[in-house]
Amino acid sequence: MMNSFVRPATVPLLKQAAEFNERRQQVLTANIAKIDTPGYKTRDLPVEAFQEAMKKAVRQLKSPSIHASQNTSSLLPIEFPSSLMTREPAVDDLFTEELFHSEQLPEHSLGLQDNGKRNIEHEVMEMTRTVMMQSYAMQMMTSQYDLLESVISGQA
Amino acid sequence: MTTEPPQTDSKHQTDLLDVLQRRREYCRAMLELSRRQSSLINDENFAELLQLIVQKQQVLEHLAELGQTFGGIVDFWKSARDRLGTDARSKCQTAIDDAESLLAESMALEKQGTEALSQRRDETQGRLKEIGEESDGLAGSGSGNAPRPRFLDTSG
Repeated sequence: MMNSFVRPATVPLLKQAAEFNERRQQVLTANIAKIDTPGYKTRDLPVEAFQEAMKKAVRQLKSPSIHASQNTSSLLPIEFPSSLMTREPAVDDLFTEELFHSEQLPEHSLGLQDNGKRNIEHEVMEMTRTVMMQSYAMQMMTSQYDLLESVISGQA
Repeated sequence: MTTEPPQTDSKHQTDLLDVLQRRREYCRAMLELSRRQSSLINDENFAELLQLIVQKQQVLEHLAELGQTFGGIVDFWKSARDRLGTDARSKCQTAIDDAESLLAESMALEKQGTEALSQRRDETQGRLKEIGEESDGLAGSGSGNAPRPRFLDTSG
């Protein structure tokens, strides 16, 4: 199942998604860190715009016109009339720089029922994820510390 | 008149020196990773931190493996050093001293890093708890037990 998903054509999408998630994680972590700062307004990446770009990219991958846009039309079994070969932007072009820049959210965006876009449950979910990563890192670092001690004493 | 102790054969000398120098290089790599780890913890970049921990684990495993050479590199060094030639002994001693110094620095950074991470995890958990309590409070204010707003009070 995984193999069918990780095809060469989907690799650029996975790369974009990974980069977006990583940047978003950084922004959300910064929100948590500064949550008590008076006047601080929470920030986020444009999730909906990114999802839209992702949908478009997936559609392109499925449609024949993507082949034209990627100069692989010679691989198509039949020749399409040029009028049908609408040149759509390459997949990478859909993910513009703006999608990876954080934007300030309206005030009280951490409250409940914030126009349906963000809510406290979402923030809690992200924080829980952060705590899980912190706890896992802690466990690993503690066990590595013990191993390091053994290396120093020559017991390892 | 001084008498040189019987010398360990040159093959053993070369091997011992090679192992100790390689061990020093792994210790240097370990220190570099510990420094990057501190910086990632400060930046709260937990996604990259987890990747770095995996790299650190590989270095530590190499170090542990090298430590087992000759049935325990430290013990072997202690038993063999008096039989080494002056030059070889000096080089081995330098490699060991360097490695110990690098490892000691790594240990200090690891300790600081674990403490900093633990503190951040506690802060995030505390914030999560606060949000939980705030949201319980908000939910409670909408219940039948909450005071009714005056303008909705139709009782008189």
